[in-house]
Amino acid sequence: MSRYSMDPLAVGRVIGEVLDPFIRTVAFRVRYNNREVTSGCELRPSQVANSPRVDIGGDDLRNFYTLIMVDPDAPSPNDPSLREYLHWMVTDIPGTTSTSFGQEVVKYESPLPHLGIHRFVFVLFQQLGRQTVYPPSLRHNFCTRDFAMLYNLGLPVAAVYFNAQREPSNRG
Amino acid sequence: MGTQTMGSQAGCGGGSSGGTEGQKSHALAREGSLYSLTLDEVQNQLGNLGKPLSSMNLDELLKSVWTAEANQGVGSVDYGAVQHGLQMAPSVPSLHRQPSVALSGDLSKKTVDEVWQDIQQGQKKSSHDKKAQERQPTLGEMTLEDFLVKAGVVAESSPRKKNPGPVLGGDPIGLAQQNMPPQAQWMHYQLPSIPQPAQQQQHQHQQNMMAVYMPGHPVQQHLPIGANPIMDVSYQEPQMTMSPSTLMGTLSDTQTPGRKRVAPGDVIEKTVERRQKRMIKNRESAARSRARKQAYTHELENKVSRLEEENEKLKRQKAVEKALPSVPPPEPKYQLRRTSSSPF
Repeated sequence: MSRYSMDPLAVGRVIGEVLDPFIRTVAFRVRYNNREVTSGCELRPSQVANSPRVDIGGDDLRNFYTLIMVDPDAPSPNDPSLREYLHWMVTDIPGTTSTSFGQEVVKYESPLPHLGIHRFVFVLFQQLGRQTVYPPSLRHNFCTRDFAMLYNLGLPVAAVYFNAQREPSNRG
Repeated sequence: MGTQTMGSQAGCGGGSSGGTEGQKSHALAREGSLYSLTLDEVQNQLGNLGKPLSSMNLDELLKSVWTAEANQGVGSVDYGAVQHGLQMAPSVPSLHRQPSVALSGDLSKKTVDEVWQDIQQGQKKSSHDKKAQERQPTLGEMTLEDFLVKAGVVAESSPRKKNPGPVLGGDPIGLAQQNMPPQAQWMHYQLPSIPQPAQQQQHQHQQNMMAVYMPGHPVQQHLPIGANPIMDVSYQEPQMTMSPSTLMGTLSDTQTPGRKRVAPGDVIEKTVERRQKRMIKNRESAARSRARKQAYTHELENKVSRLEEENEKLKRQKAVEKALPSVPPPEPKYQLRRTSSSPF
């Protein structure tokens, strides 16, 4: 049985709808308040209100990476007319460091899903060089594939995603 | 007196008036008249009224306007044609001819302010209409003729216009007018007064008339939405001669022009379609839900196996370390050391 078909990214249709199949080559850790994101887990909007800490691997400080966070299920999974909605973009992240060392070219926007259960995908690309990636003008109808092609980012080197739905109201 | 606007437009209107054009001219003439000025300007013009415009009765207002007009010598108006006053411009000119026209008691006693309140109420009701209205935010900015139209002053004289004659030009209009119940005639005033060169006046009228007469015709498709709010407004006036309910009835009919009668077969089809769509959506939703669950399960399983492997590795390493205390490959302890101990 191929390990690949069991890949949560594929099963969750992230590979297919957002990304092309790729091979993980760089370590990638996304943590919200010290809680690590495991692909496919569910988080509450209150838990993801602020930008997470993202540590990347790689082996060279001279390689630069771009992190993109998108919601392919905006505004609702049944009718994703705004697919994909760009929540965050950090460029020029040096290898082996974290997002705090990069350029936040698109500010982190808190996920606030209204309808249905949305997937929120983090994708990591390796840049050809420093300062070669520029942010789009709009957040909605973003296309990761096209963006990668435009800036010669190639295939992703890592990705992870989580699910989130509308914050349940407090009762009692 | 004699502002620029009045001068030029009066000249235009005056020039073409008379003779066959007479019927159109009165409307034109109105462009140059006091009626197309805003109420603020009118107030200025009638500067020596001695009373602020807003607190005047409509009666007084009209009288002042007439006086002012007479003084300005807007004589280019062919009053002979004035009786066909149901044009875009208010038919107040007709009132000129019949200065004895008394506004019905209620209306004339109302002050401008009160009438304005009524208009605003009416506008609020109809504020949902999307078409751009000639809605004036303040009383002062409203033109005199609009005000009079909305106040229903002009309509007072409509019942008298029983024989419109050739003024409106084309056949359909003449025909329509004959068919039109007196109540509907006042609707003419809803059309915004558009300054037009004389030669186009007739066409303009025709079009406007056609648009306006629609409710009167069962076959007409739509009513200019602009008409509605004004109609609503005039319904406020108690002395309106028209029967609001009748006209509203007609209106509501014509407001649903596009809706065909739906045959039972169509209805069933639509329900089926809707159900199918719903089913598809549900199916997709269920598939996504399953995928989610599966994806997470797989991820957890992967993680578990990864962690287990790592665990094993670390355990082995630990065991090896225990057995071999010094980590960097040092000389083994048991290795014999060469020392020069026994000299030979």
